[in-house]
Amino acid sequence: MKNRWLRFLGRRLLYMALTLWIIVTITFLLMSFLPGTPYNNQDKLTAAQLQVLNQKYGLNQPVWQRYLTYLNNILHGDFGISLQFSDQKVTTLLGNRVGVSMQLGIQAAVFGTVVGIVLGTIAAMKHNTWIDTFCSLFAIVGRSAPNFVVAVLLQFVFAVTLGVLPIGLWNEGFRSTVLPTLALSISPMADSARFIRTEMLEVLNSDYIEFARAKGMSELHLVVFHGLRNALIPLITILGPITVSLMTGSLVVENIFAVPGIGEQFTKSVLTNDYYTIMAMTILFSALLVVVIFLTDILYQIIDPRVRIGGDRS
Amino acid sequence: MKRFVSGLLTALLAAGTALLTSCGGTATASQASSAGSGAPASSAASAQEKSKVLNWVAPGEVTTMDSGKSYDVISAEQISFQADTLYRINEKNEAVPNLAKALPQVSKDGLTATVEIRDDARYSNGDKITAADIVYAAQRVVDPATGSQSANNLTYLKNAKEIIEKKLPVTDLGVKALSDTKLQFTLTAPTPYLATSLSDTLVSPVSKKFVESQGKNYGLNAQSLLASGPFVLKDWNGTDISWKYVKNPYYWDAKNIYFDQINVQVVKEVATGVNLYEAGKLDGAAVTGDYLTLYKSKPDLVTVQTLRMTNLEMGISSNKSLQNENLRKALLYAVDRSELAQSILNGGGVPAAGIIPDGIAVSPEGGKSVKDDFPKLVYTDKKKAKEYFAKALSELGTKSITLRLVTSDTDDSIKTGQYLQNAYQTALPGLKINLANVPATVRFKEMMSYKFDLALGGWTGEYDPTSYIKQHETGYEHNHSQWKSAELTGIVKALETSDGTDFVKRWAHLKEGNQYLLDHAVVVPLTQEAKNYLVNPKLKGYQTHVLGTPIDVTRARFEGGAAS
Repeated sequence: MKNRWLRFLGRRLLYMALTLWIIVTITFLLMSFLPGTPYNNQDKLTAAQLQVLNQKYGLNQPVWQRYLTYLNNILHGDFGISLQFSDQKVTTLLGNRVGVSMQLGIQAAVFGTVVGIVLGTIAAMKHNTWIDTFCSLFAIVGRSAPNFVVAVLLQFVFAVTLGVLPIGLWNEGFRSTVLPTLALSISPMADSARFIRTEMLEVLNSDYIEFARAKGMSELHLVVFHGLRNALIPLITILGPITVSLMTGSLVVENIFAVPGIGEQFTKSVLTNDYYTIMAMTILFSALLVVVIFLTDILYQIIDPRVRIGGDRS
Repeated sequence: MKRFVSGLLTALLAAGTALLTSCGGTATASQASSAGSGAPASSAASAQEKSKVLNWVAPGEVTTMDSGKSYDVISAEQISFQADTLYRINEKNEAVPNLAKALPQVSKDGLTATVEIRDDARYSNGDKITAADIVYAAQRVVDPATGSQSANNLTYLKNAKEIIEKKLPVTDLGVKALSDTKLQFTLTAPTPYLATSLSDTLVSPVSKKFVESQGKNYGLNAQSLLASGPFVLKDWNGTDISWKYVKNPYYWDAKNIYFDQINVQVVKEVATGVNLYEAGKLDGAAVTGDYLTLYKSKPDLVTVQTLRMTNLEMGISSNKSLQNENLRKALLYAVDRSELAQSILNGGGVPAAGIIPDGIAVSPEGGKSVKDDFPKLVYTDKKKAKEYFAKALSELGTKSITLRLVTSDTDDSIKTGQYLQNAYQTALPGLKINLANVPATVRFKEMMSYKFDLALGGWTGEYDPTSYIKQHETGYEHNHSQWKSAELTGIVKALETSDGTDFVKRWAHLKEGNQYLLDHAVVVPLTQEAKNYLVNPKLKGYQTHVLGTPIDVTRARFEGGAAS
């Protein structure tokens, strides 16, 4: 059993490293096709000055050489510097901000999923009633409404009109996180509610549930311990990528609430040809994703005993 | 209820703005709710009067706090809180002595200037500021090892260009310390704008000892910086969106600095900035779009013109049709700049008066501005435009012309492109404009390859109006149209050499260059950028300028307050 686990872990770690390497390589190559320079003041630079700057930052070398240097550097923990933020280390740039985005993302994922599961379960239990209609409507609206609309509405109602929460800024501790979290949580909430409702309806109508019900098991016990456990499995599949996406920030929500996250860097780094920030953001997102997928696989086994490592059913 | 609903609707409009912002554009927002609620933050302001704390705003992150590396307005504005300059720009856009005791003493040939600096100036650690610190600062900017993207701004100093291109050592730069308080600048050519150039934080004093003690970390966070200006930077980790300044007790003019502390908050979303301003959390906010209408009659609104000119540039060398002067003139006269500035840019610009921005310089005789003194050559005359276009079609032997207009994919650029497309196609039947909205880097690459039809470009000069004329000089790298003219080269040469000691002649040549470019319609000036802010009406003594930073609050105070 122990050997099987070790083999499983070793294999998965190897796949994860391989996946990351492929992503790094493809991104690096694609990035080299980006037109323009990473210098924000490029319209004032002469050709001679561009040459000097390229030499300083090693950008005058052929792509393959830069690629090999970059691989060597990241293996030694050096992720390069940001040219947008005048020679700041990319690790400093992301390190200063990733915590904020992760906190908001995790809060939004947890809150959104829990509320979504509750809403989905209630909708399934109250199938074809006004409660079900309401929950379904909420899921549709929540899925369709862009988060910037939700963010501005929340800001207007709770901060500007009622004045119960801060308009924005990151200086009131947990209170500063409430509105951004709510804005970010609407989408996972709607997704979870929709998924759980569909799955629960199927599970609650299955034979084994009918059998348990016939044996006199309480409805709550039935739903929580038998229904929900089975309905959660497909939800876990989508929950991983959603959580990673939330943890890596949202440009719009972070800007609206003036919070120092990394959301903006995804687009800004590409638009400004900030090469090493693009790479670091890609690595961060990919690494989180492969780790979450790995954890999801493990979670499957805990929730569903039929799933075994390496597909072994013995 | 009515107010709630109207507020909710405007909040939704602001949501649309957020989407535009997220696409990399400049936001234009509309959220009327709180704007109508009257004067902002008066109670907060009175509380602040006692504590002498200003809550200020920045529209984006600071790319650097290293005075030698700054190249953008946001960074320059922030650096000016903590880096002192030889000269300061006053309300009239003139350079006045600051760290320097008097205006530069220039030699008869205009090639050497001496500047005496104060002997009571100190850094925030108590160390004395000397002339050698200015020399080191300038050398550091042009040193290729520093990688300053603003190194070209010092090419008025002898040998700067050669040092930037690694042809000479930094020690050959045309600046030296004659004593602890006396500086000597050796200039490439007579430089009439020398004092204004020396108001730039690029040549703020930098302590060599301190820089060397910090090594590679110099300027990367608040701890690795040494202030020479009125405030000391605190709580900035290099990429923060909020930080603060505390008063520098060693500053030579500390008695005229009122605020003990200035808190700065980056707010990129206009609606959020306005809400924070109205809630009294900020004493200033950047505004665009419909907010300008809302605040039009209120004392809070402050508009500042900048040196950024937005122009329609033409690929004259690459497009045969555009080599026809009548076609270019049709493009010059067919566009309504007032409509563009007001309806499309929502006050984010004013109609261009010519090639050179208004406010950059004044006439030596009478002190008249560019707008008042230069002949009015940029205007709208659709009838005239039509006539020129008809002539162009006939000369080119065609019934229609199709041109591709490339713009950046920012909100304002897209809207301006669409406006130009519509304006030209309506005013000049037979002209078809195809729009291409691309990332700024792609647009710039096309322009620098000199292969394009039309491009929404522009120019931001520093302190010398000549650069706006020089941009179109034969052989200049940023002459995107590749216009070739011996006459214009002659004008630029005179501006860069002999005119340096004859300000009357210089002004005449600037006028001549402006006229030449517009007579031949080498470029179509559209707008001069304007920035709009809400500023707490109780804040007094701040300065706005076209040159340098748009708003200088370092010596501001709350009404009735006095510095101590």
